[in-house]
Amino acid sequence: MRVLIVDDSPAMRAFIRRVVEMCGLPVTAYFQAGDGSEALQLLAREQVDVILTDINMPGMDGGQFVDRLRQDPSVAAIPVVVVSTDATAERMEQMMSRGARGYVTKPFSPEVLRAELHRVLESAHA
Amino acid sequence: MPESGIELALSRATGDVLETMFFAAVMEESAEARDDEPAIAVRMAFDGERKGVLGLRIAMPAARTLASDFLGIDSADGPAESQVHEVVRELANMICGDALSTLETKPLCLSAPRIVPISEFVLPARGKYRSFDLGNGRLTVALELEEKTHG
Repeated sequence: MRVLIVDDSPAMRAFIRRVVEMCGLPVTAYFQAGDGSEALQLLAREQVDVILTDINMPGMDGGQFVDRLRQDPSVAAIPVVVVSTDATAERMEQMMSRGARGYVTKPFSPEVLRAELHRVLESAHA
Repeated sequence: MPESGIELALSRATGDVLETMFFAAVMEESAEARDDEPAIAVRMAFDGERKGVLGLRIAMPAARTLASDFLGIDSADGPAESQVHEVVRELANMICGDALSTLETKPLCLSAPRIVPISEFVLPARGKYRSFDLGNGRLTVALELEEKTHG
């Protein structure tokens, strides 16, 4: 499995990667990007199986990134899990209606991210 | 004990973030904020139903420990200064988002946290703050709210 982590904070990208490594998923490659625009450039040359993205990023934010993904048939089916500090119900609903498949709020325990990733990946393959 | 809803939100959010993301425990929490230790300060603005600034000050040794734990660095050299700053910015971001998420119903609008000179961390007269003893230094978090103007 190939995982793309999109977050403007290198520290948060490193943390998420460590947690994903603890999830017991058969990850073969990690990719990272600092915003949605960088992530789209990466997706033009690399294939990934799941995307974890922040919302609040300089440049292209998480909402715009999900919109762009859904408009492009070559990447529209890649499941997206939002990882954000914004735990308001309105933001969660907004992101899910734009096409995200999962939502994890920071702070999160490794167990919460693991469970959400498993749920999203299982439903994507169902 | 926290007295207002904002102090309560700050208290709960800071405890949650430290425990969940940094595997750190608070030794003692108070409304007293000592400033006699070398420290790092961060400020970040937010807007929405409430508008204001979150300020955070953390003692250097505590910041280095949190950065090591967050990044999984266990070398003798510890994290680089840039890594410590990056992690402290993320700490502020998570505390701000977590605290405001319990106070707001509309989606949050948070600016990027920035490291500022320690002199810029001033406990606000109109603000609410809490201070936490992390064992090797204090973490103080303050939320300064602006009056919303209407019309």
